[in-house]
Amino acid sequence: MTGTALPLLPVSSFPSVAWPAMPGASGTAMLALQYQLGQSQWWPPELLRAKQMEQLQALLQHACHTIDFYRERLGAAGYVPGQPLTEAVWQAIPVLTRSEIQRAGDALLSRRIPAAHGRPGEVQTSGSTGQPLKTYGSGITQFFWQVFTLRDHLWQRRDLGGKLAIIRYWPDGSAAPPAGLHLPGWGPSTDAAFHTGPSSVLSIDSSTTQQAEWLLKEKPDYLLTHPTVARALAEHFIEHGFSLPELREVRTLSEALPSDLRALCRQAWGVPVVDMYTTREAGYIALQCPEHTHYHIQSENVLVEVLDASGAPCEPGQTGRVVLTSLHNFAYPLIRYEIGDYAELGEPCPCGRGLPVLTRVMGRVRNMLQLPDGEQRWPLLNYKAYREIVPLRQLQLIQRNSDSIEARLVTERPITADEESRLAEAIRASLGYHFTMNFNYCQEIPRSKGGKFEDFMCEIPVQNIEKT
Amino acid sequence: MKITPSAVPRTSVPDIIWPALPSGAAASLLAMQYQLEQSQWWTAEQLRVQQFRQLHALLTQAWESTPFYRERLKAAGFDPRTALTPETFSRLPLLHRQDVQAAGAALLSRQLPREHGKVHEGKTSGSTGRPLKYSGSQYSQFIWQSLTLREHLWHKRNFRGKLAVIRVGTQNNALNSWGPPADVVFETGPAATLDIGTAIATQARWLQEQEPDYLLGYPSNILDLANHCREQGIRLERLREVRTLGEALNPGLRLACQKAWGAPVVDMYSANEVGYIALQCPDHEHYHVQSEAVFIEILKDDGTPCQSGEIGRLVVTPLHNYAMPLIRYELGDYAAAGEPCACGRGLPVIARIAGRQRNLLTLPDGSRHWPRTGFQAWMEFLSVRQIQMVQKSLHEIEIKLVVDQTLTADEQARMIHVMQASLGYPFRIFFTYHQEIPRGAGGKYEDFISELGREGPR
Repeated sequence: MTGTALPLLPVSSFPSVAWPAMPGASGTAMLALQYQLGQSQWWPPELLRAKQMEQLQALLQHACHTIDFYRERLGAAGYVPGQPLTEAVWQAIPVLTRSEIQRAGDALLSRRIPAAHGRPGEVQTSGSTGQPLKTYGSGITQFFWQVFTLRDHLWQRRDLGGKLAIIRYWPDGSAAPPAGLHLPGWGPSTDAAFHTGPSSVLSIDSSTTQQAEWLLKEKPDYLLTHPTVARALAEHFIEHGFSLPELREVRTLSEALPSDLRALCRQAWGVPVVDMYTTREAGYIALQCPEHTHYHIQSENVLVEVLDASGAPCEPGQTGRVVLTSLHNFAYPLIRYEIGDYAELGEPCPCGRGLPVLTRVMGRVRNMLQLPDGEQRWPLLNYKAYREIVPLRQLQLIQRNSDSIEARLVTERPITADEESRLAEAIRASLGYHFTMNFNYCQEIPRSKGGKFEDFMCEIPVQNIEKT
Repeated sequence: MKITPSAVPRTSVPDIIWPALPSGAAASLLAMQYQLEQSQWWTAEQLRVQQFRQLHALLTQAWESTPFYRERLKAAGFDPRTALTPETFSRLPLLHRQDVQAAGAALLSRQLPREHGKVHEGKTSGSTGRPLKYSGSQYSQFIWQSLTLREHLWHKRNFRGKLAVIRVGTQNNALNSWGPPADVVFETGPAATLDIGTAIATQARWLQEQEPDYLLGYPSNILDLANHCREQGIRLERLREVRTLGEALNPGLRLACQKAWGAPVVDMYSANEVGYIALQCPDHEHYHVQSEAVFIEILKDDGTPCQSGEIGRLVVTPLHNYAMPLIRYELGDYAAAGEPCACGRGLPVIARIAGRQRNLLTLPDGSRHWPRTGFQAWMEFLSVRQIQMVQKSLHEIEIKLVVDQTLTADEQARMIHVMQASLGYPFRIFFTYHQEIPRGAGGKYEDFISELGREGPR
């Protein structure tokens, strides 16, 4: 189905009234927030920052009063509860690392969570270093999660009456192939305020062939999945000449977006990719601009800082560490939390939104390539070139030390020595150095817990990188 | 850098300041603003589709629970089971003010759906001198408030400012806030109210003391006030905007306010029994029909719709008052349809409204007053079809009446008593009886005429 989208009409809880709608309590709360976000997105950055500081003031005060860890930490930075929070004090607060959170554990949990925030709920993240991270959210952080889910739908002007297919980590076994799980709506964020079409879920631990067959049967309007899944599917569809005529958009999350994915999805299905940057512990960080392929920081949800190696804020065009402060988590405050991702800060967006721009979200430091001269860079893998040499199903590169790379690969058939050496050359060319290459052929390269797949990992310990 | 004031709603959770988590009532108003924010940009056709869905719901309700309408709807070919077409709707007879006056309680719903809440009653003098009683529901009141809030947001008011109000039904008061709906949603500055009966010179002094950011009142009163301030050199330095309602905008009013105070005028067009009909465009001086709340027709004498630029009778169907449905209600005002607005809003444009026009009353001491006619009181014992008052001299008032029966001596005496009390002077009052009281120039109805000298920009 194509053509102009009908105006989006909220659900009405008044049977006798057709329009405008009177939504129920949760839909009303959701739309009251959308009204505010509809305004604040156009505010100038200075005003957004001022409002963030007001909210941070409340958060820091609460953290000081109810969490010893923060009382000491914030006090040492010069923060005095009740006094205005200045930028200087803010900058003096040390960055909070994942390992600090792991060590502190429940010591970061507030002793007195305000009743209106609801009970704290555990949030488990798989942890990129293999060590899971346990934090807590609240009823309020859950609510804001839903609010920004809906903002993304509204920004992208989705037809909520369409069908949504989801291929994601789904641990309870209910979304197993071949049938997957069938749900009547898109989920609570969307259903509270709008009539939605059905959705179907398939667990991410299914094969590309199973996923493709499932999609052909489901005929979705929207596909939500990880970038690496979308890429494998796009290649599969191109290779087999399959199509998804109803598909309008591929929505991606959870992994760094590979540079070739937008072109591949255009080629396979003629649809755009809309990416989002979210984390379980801090909610929505950035959403793709409705008019561009870069991202807008969700300033109403989180304060995002992109810091260089010295801890100073990056300028547009620079790549740095992402440091987050969740504005509304009063259960388990995360204040200047270094999530471990790297991102490139952008210039203000020509769309007119004052929400700051990230041009690229790179992923973890461990996804960075280290050259023997000590230079670090984000590797750009050239799948198109590799695939012209070998029938590749999966590829993962692991940097063991400063001059050798292990390539794990799954191929459709055994490949020849000649093909292997040509592939080695292609990989060296895209990485920009003549690495020693070791090939390791596998039946399957499994995803990490949580369903993430990383196509490049550097195993040189971080300390060694920082020293070089 | 100067940051423009951007209102953040009040929060109901103390620590969550921004974005705010508003309380139930405020959230309802903001959820409606979300919808209004979207629908204002829809095309005229998209708006019409939703209006007809809602008209169908309204007509179905009237069919089921308002006896007055059953026959009318049946005769027009309305069937609750099928979608309402514009053709069927236009076959419904117009509802005149006389019909409403005559129908009385037969226009009330016998079975108002629960979600519409309690019913309230009111009286209105009407913009054409034809007083009537009406009823509304809590829900129709909510729609009214939603549009009040839209009007504030359209004109980007600074809610922290001070609001001065000069109108009927208020006392001389200093208030902490602007009142609902603004203060339900936003933290507002203070407000001050003044009784409209106060002499113009006193009003001017009061305004000087109050130093308001916004002034709300009736055009006739404000015109005189502006002229007075200009003559007396009274500046209102803080005044950012004059807000008017209740009467047709005097042609000289915008210029008079600009000259006196350097403030623009923002006009609203509403009627007590109907709610908001049209609000001034944020970017222009003409009006946008509030299509989310009323279905408007502007009809030529032969009943066909006016083209843009043509003046015709305004026919209103409020979409959400199920307590007393007014279906194709001929309000009595005339309006000129406008071209689609350059601002991009799909809400239809009314270029000009020819409504009620009023002169001020002059007391023998020379002071000028907005004329209070005490209709709330005399409507209790008198059934009047139409009324017009004319100040013939400093001491004499003529009351022109259209009535079914000539007033008795007792009724005359009571009427005179009410009038003298509300006008604030023991005028000599005499009655004349008429078949109909015609409109003045431009289709405007003058409910109070002063023959002592007509006001205009001086």
